[in-house]
Order: sequence, then C-alpha cells, then structure tokens
Amino acid sequence: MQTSDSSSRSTLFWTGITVLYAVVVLFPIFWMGTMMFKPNETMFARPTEWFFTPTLDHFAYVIEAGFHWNLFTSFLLCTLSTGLIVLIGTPAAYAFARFEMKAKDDLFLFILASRMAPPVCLVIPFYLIYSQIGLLDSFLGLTLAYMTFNLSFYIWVLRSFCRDLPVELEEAAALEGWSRLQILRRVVFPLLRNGIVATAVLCFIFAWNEFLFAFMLGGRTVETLPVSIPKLITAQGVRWGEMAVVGMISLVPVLAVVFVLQRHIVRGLTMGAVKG
Amino acid sequence: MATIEFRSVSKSYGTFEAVSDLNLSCAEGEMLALLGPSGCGKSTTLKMAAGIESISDGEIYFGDRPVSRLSPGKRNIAMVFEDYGLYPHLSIRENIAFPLRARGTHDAAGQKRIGEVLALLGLEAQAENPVRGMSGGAMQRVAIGRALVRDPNMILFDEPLSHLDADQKIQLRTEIKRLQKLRGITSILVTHDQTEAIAMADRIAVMNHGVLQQVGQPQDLYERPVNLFVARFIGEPPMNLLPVREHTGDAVNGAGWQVGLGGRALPAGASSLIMGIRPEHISLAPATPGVGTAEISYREPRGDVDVLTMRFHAEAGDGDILVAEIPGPSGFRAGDCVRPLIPTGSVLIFDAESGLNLEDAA
Repeated sequence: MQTSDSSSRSTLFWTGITVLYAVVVLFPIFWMGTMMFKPNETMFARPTEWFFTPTLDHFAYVIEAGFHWNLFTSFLLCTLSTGLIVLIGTPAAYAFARFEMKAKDDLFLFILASRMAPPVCLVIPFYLIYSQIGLLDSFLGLTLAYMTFNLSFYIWVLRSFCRDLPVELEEAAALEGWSRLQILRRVVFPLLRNGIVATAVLCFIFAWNEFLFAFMLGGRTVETLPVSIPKLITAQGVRWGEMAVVGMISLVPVLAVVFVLQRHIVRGLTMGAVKG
Repeated sequence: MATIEFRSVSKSYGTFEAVSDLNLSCAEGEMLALLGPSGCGKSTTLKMAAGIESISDGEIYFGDRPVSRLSPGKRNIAMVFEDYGLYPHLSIRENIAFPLRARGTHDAAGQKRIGEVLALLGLEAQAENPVRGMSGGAMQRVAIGRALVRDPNMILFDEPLSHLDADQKIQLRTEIKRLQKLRGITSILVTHDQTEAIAMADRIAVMNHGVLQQVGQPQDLYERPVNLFVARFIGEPPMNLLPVREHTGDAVNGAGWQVGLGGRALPAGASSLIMGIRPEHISLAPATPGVGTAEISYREPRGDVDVLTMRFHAEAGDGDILVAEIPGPSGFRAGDCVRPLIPTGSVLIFDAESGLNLEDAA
C-alpha cells in the first residue's frame, strides 16, 4: 500500500516536471501565436496586454507581399531534394550494409565527410562553381546542394536500419526463387518502411530549416521561407506581427509532418537506437 | 532422387579460405550433421549448397546434376534458419503458405498441403495468429512447416536450435528427427553442439578451419577419432590427452602414470606422442604406493555420475591432470588418493606434431 502510494506520488512529481518543461518550451511559440493577431500598437505594451482585439492585418500584408510563393518554393525544394535522396540513398545504404566491395570503409567515410565539414566551408566553392555554370538561383542548383549534405546523413542512418534486417528473410525469399529485385521490392523495402520514413522526415526538416545555402545560392526566383523572413526588417522598422505569421507558417508544416508520421518516426528512431 | 555431393569444393574470401577442398556426400533420406566450432566453415558449406554463397572451386551435385550455377530458387531446397527468418507481420498460416505463394502454386492443392503441414506440427488451432511474440520454439516449428510445405529436395538446417531454451531444444530436436524420418527428406544440419549432432544425425562431419576432419557415425567419431581435434571436440567431459614422456616397447608413461599398450606397435620414427583416454573408461582403485597414484582435487556430482579431477604426483605438484567419470554418487571426495585404472584397450595414441591418431596411420 505504502509503496504504491509513494510510486504514484513520484509519478505525479515527474509528470509535473514534464509539464513544466513543456510550458517553458512551448511558451515562445504561444507568444508568437499571440503576436500574429496583435495590433502593432499593443505589440510591446507594458504591462503585457493579454486581452486585445485581434487583427488580420498581418496576414493581409504577408499575402500581399507574396510570401505564399516562398512557402511554395520551400516546399518544392524540400520535396524534390528529399525525394531524390530516398531514391538514390536507399539502394546505396542497402549496398553498404550488405555487399562486399573494395575500399568500402573509405568510401563510406568519404560520404560521411561531406556531412562533417562545416557548411560555411562548402558554400563558397558552391557559389563559385554555380556562378560559373549558371546554377545560381535555380531549383536544380539548390536541390543538388541540399542533397550533398542530406544524402550522406540519409545513407548513414539507413545503413544501420539495413544492417538490423535479418538477412535470413532475404535468403528465405531467394530459396523460393525470387530475384534480387523482387526481394528488394517485396521483402526489404516494406520492412525498411519505418526507417525510410523517419530518416526522410529528418532530411526534409533539415532542408526546410536550412538558411545558409538558400541564402547564398538562391535569389529572387528561388527564395525559401527562412531566407524571406529578414525582408520584414524594413527601413520603416521591424514588422513583428508579419514575422510571427511567417514564422508560424514555416513551423506548421514541420509540426504537421511529425505529427502525422509520429508512429513511423518513433518506431524508426527507437529501432535505430536500440539495435544500432 | 535427392543426394548431395560436394566434390573438391572450396570457398575463399580474398586470401581467406573459408572452406578448402571439401569432399562430402549425403545419401538420400540421410541426416548429415556439419559439426565444428564457430568459423570452421560449416555454415558457409551449407550456404553453398543452398546457392546463397557462390563456390570458388569444385562442384556440388544433387544426384548426378551439377548445381553450382543454378540460382537458389531453382535448386528446390528449403532452409531453416537460426533466427527463424519468418515474416513477423504475417500469421502462422501465411508464413507457411509463403513458399507456395512465391512460386504461384497457392491453389486448392496447395491449401490442402498447408492444412496437412499445420496438422503435422499441431499448429491448426493457432494458424491465424501472427508469429510476432511467439516463443522461439514455436517460431522454429513454423519455420519447419514452411520448409516442409513444398516437398523440397532437401532441407538445410542452420543452427536451428541455438536460440532456444534447454527444454524447447530437446523437444524440438526430437520433433525435427521425427519429421525428417517420416518424410525421408535428405537433410544437412549445421551445429556447434555435439549433443545435438549426436542426437539428430545419422552421420557427422567434423570441420575445423575450413577443413573436413572426419566423417562417420557418431560412434565412430567417439571411438576412433582420426586426430586430436576430433578427439577433443567429441565427448563430454572431453577426452584426457596426456603428453607421453617416454615409450618403451609396450608401455608409455608420463608425469606420474604408465599405461601398457597391449602389444600395439608404434611407428619407430614417432618422437613426441600424446596418450588419449576417455574419462568414462577410467575406473578407480584404492591407492597403493608407487607410480600411478593421484589425488582428487575436485568432485563434480552430476547425479548418475561423478566427474573427478585428479592430479598425479600431487605432493610434487608436477604431475599430469586426469579427469575420470565414474558411476555416482561415489564415496570419493576432494583430497582422497586413488589409483586410476586405464584399460589398455581404450587408450588412443596420437602424434603430438601432426595430431594424427597413430592407430589409424598404422
């Protein structure tokens, strides 16, 4: 009796701590949420006005200024690069996990190295090369740039998922006369699904939040959401309300993706954590 | 129709030779065990038979048909894996149906076969349960069902019992043996556990470092090991192998002991010898002064037998150590002095350098 009482008390304690932590983490987002609707006059009123007449002016400005194009650009760019990464990276990760090849470890390290280098080191050569071959401010250029650092991450993570797949499943299927391709399509990929989804979502989020490459290699045509936000710091002052709106817009897709695919991601990541 | 024969088969990975010049055959309906420590090449041999691993040299025949160029699917082989190799999200029935589905023979006759296999394994009641969460023994039974369902030429068992609990192990090995004899399916069993091999196999092939050491019925390997490796590997507790210090015409002796050879001739050139005697062949007599007295240092009671570890010349501390297995429970205790009786007929003499059993060589 006593033990169950004290254990429920300790549960209560930890729940309390967790709630407190969640409040600390979520408060800025809540604050941003209120800023989206606050009239400029009360934005920084002291003491804080908790109750105010909400306004949609900030939204109107954001649409007028064409920020939905930036949203579309970000979305297209991230989908393109992540899609290509899954297409190229999945077979690569499988090959690294399963096949013997010459200088495999060196090759793997080489792939990882592109992720280890600080992005600032890479962005200048990228800029110089792109300016020579005319890839600046193009979807193709940025997609390729995003692939360089996300592909290595994807291969690296998915390789450990592939290693955890029991090879017997593939051997059993081979004994039934399936070809390598059939085995990949009908045994390996279905079993890798959680891993692929979890890793691809992480790549998507990395690309979504990326600023440096988008800033340096993008331009008027290809301007992603993170790059567009500083435009709200104008000569007339900082447009805080609009900034909150755009900030929220860039946050929502990430949250939505994580929320919808949570099951896959958690299972995928814990699988990697426990076995990898 | 299903015999398998390895003719001079080798497998190398770069400079490492996993299996070298293997000549081995398995008769129809026979269960052959490949026994050896890990890394001895037994699993590689099995995978070469299955076609999962290619062979570097030689040829494998099923009957009189060379198969090394056939893909695994064309060899009509089933395999039972150490880790079961089942699809966790499918039910028992679906897992067993998998080979038929994969080959497109999942028709009415196929359904009937699945029903028969389920009945054979006593799994009818749980047929629709998912295999996820089942015990290892139950999963392995499903895997055996999957192997049986399409009448394979042969079944290859790759350490099928090593992940199971002791009681499941014994139960399943009887079950495997029963099904294998019932269906008369040629089978190869890979294992590192000699008890398993002896209990299940008709013949045992002992391998070490990719080289086949000896093939024979369990009794042959036990009584007439061709070399020191087989002598050490088969039998529990392992055979006593004592270095011979000198050999006269018809006796050998070592540190504290002497054994008559009963008129056996040893090759003249043999310089360093090793005497082998199984613990269970030794009997004990009361100690008498002189050569051959040993002091018991440890007694391991095993119920029906006692395993006694003793040392010759205990007072000097330089004598050989001998292990004897005698009917138990015995009255012997640690510290007792005894005279081990080593029957001449059970003694084996090995060449220390080549490791060969000299009786075989002579």
